[in-house]
Formats: sequence, structure tokens, C-alpha cells
Amino acid sequence: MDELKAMEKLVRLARREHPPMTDAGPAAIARIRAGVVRPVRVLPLSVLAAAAAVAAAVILVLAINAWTAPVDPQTALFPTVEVASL
Amino acid sequence: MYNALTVLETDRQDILASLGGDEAAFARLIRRYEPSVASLAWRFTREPAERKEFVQDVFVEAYFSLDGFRGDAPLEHWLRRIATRVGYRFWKRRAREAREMPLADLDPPAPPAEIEPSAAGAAVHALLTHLPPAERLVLTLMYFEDCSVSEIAHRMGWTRAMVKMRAFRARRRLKAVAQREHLLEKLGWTS
Repeated sequence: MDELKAMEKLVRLARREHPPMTDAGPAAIARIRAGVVRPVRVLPLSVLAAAAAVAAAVILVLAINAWTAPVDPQTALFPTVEVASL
Repeated sequence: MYNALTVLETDRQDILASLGGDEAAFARLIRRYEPSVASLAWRFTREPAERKEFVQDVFVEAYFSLDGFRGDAPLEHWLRRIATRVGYRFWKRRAREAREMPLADLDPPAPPAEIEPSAAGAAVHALLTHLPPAERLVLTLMYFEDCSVSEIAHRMGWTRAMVKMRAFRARRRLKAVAQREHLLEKLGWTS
């Protein structure tokens, strides 16, 4: 028998299970009364935002430096020739 | 306000009373739908304390978003949709802790006896822990909720193509896990 067919057979059997009951009502009502909502985890998003801000700041600094001190890239190819005094 | 064909009158009254701050009305809704939510929670966790907290989370979230219930589907469907999302978040948290369960040795019963439903359920649960949360969710909803691709897409806010791709990958990965865990040998289904 193929593993996936076996899995489907297991699932058919598992569906006959009777899950145990829970009694979450009183605790849920108590949490509602206290206004307690599980905080949504925003840590990954804030970490991503911080990393993006740092990267943007670095690029900005490099860009400002490049802008304020423009250098002709061909300058190094043509070193100034000292003209011998006649 | 709510479609009388989809929302039961008793639910409608309790929802309106709950929106007005009547805790007893919401407690009635919990009593009515807790078995349904708890049975879905069983597919997400078999640990009693975690499951109880899971069910609480669903009803707390339902309470605070009750004014968003439009009534175009039965309340039970809406609650199960919330439960699915709560379950997905639960699995994503668990995935960060990397909790995979080994497949326990099953005692293969002598033919023609069948494996006990609880043992089968535990085996399925253990095998599915090896999948990433999104793939696990797709297979769980297909296997236990009879959800179609469109229904899963609707419940989770995913595209149909995404659901299909996850289902395909999930089956491929599950087959590899079942082979690695020697599922057929443990079940005695090798012949």
C-alpha cells in the first residue's frame, strides 16, 4: 500500500474519534470581562522595519557623501603631467 | 440585520444581546458552540491545557470581533473560521520552537481487527507535526473538515493557486515523512 493511501485510511479511522470535552466558557468570560486579548506578535514586523530603516540610513549617508564630494572618475586615468620648466 | 436563512433565531438574539454587553448571552453562545470549536481544536493540539486555552482564544477573539459578523453564513462557520486562524497562529508559534513528534510504535492489530480511532488520530497528528504550519493546515482542513481548495482559500485569505501548491507540497513531504518513519511497517500494512 502506498504511504498516502495508508494516511487516508488512518484519517478515516481518526475521524471516528470522540475528542474529550472542554469547559472553556467561564475562563473565556473572565478574560472578556478583564478585556484581555492575546497581543498579536508584531516582533518580526518591527525587526524587519528596523532593519529596513538602518539600511536606508546607510544608503542615505553614502549618497550624501557622494553628492557633496563629486569626483570625476576619469581623474585617476589622467594624472597631472608636470610640465618641465623651460 | 442577519439573514434568517443562515443565522438561527436563538443565535441572532444572543448575538444582539452580547453586542449590548450581556455576558450571559455570550456564555450561551459558548455553551452552544464549544463542542464544535473544541473538536476542531483537537486537530491542532492534543495537550489538554493548550486545547482549553485555544478554545478560550477563539471565543475571546469572537467576542471582540462580534460586531464584524455579517450573518451571511451560520455562526458556527464563522467561529470555525476564527478557530482555523487561531490554530494556524498556534502552529506558527510552535514551529519556532520546532516541536516535531516521532511516530510512536503502533501495535498492529491482528487482521481483520482495525486500529483504534484514537491511535489512528495520534498517528496522523504525529505525522503532520513534521510539516510546515501552512502545509499542515491545508491537509488538516482537507482531511478532517472536508474543505475544498476554494473553502481553504476563503477561510485563510489565500489564493486558490497558493492552496493547491501547498497541498501538493504537503502530500509530497508527508509521503517522505511516512517512509522515513516506516509508517507501513508500524501499521502492519506492508502486504
